[in-house]
Amino acid sequence: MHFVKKVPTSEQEKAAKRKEHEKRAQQFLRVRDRIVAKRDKGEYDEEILSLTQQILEKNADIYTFWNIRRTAIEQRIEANRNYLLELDVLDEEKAKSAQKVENLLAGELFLSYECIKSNPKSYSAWYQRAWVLQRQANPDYVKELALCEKALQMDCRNFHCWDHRRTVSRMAKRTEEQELEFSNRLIEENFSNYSAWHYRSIALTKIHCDEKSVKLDDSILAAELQKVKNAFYMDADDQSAWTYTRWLLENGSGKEFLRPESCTPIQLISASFHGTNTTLVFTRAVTVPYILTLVDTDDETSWRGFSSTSPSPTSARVWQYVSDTPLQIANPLETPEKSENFAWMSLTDTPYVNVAKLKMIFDVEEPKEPAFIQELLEDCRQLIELEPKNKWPLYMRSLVLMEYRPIRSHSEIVDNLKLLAESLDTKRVELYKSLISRQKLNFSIREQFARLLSHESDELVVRYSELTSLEGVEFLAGLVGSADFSGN
Amino acid sequence: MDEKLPESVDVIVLGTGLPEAVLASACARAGLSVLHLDRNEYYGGEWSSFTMSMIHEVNQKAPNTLTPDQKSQITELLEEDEQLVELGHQKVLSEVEMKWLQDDVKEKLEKESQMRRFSIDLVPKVLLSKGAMVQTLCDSQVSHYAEFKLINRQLCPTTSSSDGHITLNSVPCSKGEIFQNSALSILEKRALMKFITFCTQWRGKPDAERRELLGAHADRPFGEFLKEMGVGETLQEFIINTIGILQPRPTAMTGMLASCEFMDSVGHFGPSPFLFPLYGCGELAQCFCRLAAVFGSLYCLGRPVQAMIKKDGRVIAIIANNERINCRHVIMSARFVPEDVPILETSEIERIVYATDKSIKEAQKEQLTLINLASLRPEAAISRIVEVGFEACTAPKGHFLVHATGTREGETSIEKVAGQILAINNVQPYWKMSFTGKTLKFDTTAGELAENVILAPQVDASLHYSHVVEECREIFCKNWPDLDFLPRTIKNDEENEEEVEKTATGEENQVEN
Repeated sequence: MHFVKKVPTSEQEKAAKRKEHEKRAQQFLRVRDRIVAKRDKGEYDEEILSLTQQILEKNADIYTFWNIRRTAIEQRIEANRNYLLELDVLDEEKAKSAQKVENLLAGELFLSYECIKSNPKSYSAWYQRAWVLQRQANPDYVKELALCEKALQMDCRNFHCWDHRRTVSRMAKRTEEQELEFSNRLIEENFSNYSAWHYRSIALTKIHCDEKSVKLDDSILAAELQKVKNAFYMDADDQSAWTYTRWLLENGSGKEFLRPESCTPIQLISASFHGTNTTLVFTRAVTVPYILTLVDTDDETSWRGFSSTSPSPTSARVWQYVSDTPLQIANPLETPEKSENFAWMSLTDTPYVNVAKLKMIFDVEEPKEPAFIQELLEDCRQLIELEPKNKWPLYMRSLVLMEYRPIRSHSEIVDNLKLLAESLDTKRVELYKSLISRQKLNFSIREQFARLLSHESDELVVRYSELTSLEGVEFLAGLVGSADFSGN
Repeated sequence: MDEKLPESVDVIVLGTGLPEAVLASACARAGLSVLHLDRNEYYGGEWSSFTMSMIHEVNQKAPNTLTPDQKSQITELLEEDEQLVELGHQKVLSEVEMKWLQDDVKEKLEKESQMRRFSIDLVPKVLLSKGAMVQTLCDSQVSHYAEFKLINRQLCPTTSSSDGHITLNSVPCSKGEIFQNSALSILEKRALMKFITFCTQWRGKPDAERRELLGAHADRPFGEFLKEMGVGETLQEFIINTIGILQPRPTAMTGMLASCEFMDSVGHFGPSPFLFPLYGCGELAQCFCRLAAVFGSLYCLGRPVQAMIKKDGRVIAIIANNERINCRHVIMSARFVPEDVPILETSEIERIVYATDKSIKEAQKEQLTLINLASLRPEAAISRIVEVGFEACTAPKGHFLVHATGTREGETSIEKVAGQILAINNVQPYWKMSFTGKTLKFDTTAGELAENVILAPQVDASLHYSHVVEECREIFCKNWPDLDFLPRTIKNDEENEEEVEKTATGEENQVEN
């Protein structure tokens, strides 16, 4: 029988196969109909368990059948629970009954394991495991976590498995430190692993940040940068390393513009009276009911919001209260909301301006630069030199400069962003253009900042500055009466 | 022993060393009838592994040349025009010495009956994960008979220039290991990754273009080429040391080939490119014999193989234990080559084996270790150490075998260097064996050997098995051009059925949805 070359499938064989195939399909349909019929009659017996198992072993994605199994098992769990409460049953019998349920659950773990082996991306099979673990008397979390780790070794981006691991580690009450260690292990094996870096970022935030602060300590940032640096030096094209670096940068930053607006704490930037209205400007979009907690009126109707996305927004950063008499506001420096011992602040003579915040928004002052930031800048510089065609180090360096040296390095930032837009990363031209625009806007506002604050003149002039967007200008709504953006 | 042998077979294989076993299995697999004989009572010949209680068998028995009585008895088996050629007892192992250095350990091991837990290799080699041996094992399904573990640690000795102190550093193989390594600077890591990327691209090019890419450096030392590529001195040394285990003294061309070979195997079964057979390297020869047996090859060990019968310049029969077996081909190990065939050249490999109860570099988990000693013996073509223990099933728990292998060039002996390595962690071996392995180059042109006598490849100094297997393949294909060498097994019907089932359920799913 040796050296029999495989005969190409002839028409006849194909036909036979098709027939066989049809036979199997018929078989499947028969079993399916039988299951459905039993379900409709409420027969959640041993047979329905065995029928669904038969099919799920071959195709784990039919969630209806998993559902039926869960119902069947729930019924048995419930029956056992009642049985255990009965008074006239021997303890021995009760133990037997409880054991039966445990065996059933263990069997379910085995079935889903087999399913996951053949289809590691089956939602239903993974879900079934978590469901079983929640119902077992003594779930073996160690074994389950080991299973997750094995599955992740086979496919480090299997999000079903990541999700499952999150669930299990929560059930097992694993500490975030343990999970951080776990991410360490995966990253060491293969640093091009978005999921592991992401898992790490979540663990780090949970360990070191509370609800009030989202900022990581410099010492942690420095250590993390040391780690991720190995990765982007080894492979400067590896996005996961750069994305994590960017995340670190954002977390070390006190500024908002790199972050989504939802991360920004709500703060009042300015409140000013303009004869016919009182203008309030906030760090992020707020609603009228929220504002009413800060002002001396309950009137909900005389408000006008300003937003670039809607003519009459319900949520906006800039609000006008239309009235000839100025509003009074709760002193934002003392208490954020009206409480017993607070003082109203009058806006009649002088407006309220949160200068510190505005300075931060428009980079009027540069923040203190930690040593690791200097190191990161130097690393990027070195990589730019070694790989002039790679966009990542240039982009990262520009982000860092925007954050820490917006004034000193203004021209380098603009040059870098232009280089990115024009040759290194032309697919994201608009992104770079809007970053350039904001840098130029900030530059211009910085020049006029003292004048605007002194109330000598309320005209803002930003001419011929290649602005593509006026985003950010709204923060000045309380200070600027007229603006000249000609030539942009 | 008294069992009657067949009167006639296609192929008689003499010696059960690895190459003979591979060839025997290839012949049997190809449908030829095979008789496989060995004078030893054990499998593997000079490729074998022994337990501590059997290791004395390594001493080749005194050759018992035919007495005139025997000779006349055998001559009776001859027919007209046939000629008797007495088979040789070539010595392929010499200066075999073994001694216990600590008798108390011996007593203890004997008392606990641990002696049989050793598996002492005569030829310790490793398998390249994507090399020819692994391919052959998988294709032939001999892999079913054996188990392997990853060589999980490669160490590289560096000598301090100030005090001559030697330290052993881990060689990072995979991307992950490079990432974790603290000895390399990040710029070196980067240069190393760039080099790896270059290798990957280079490997995919046709031969001519490959040479072109190396330019004038192709046949110049590898180091010069690496320097040209912007690889710093430390890293040059590191790369050359790492691949040096595959290719000593590389040129740009051979260095690149070895680098590719190395990288190709990295990550295939794990971070290291090398595998080691559990229970020792001698297992492999036995596994191939087992495949041969499955395909009908007949085995007789401990059989006095005495002579061959020639007629018209061809061997037509072998005489073993005074029996005549006719055959078309004879495959023999060097041991059986008639004494009157002139030897052109003998190359020697020095081997020392130590048994120890402490690793040369302790780690949390027991490791299978490979050390390239080239930096300590720069003149020698080959110098390396393999340390395997309980994890590889070659020693009792807590014990290790340290195999030093080296060629003779230069002033520093392999023994001295091995001693230095043992001294780093103050390892005191309790048993030691040393011998010289010989590779004999015979003058086959004189016609003493017939054209249908095939000499099996001999032990070579290479770290891995690719060359041996490739040589076996060439020999087989040359002699049986119309047969396949250990071809991939055709899927059986059961597996086919499973496939059908999968597609079927795939479509059923659509029905459901």
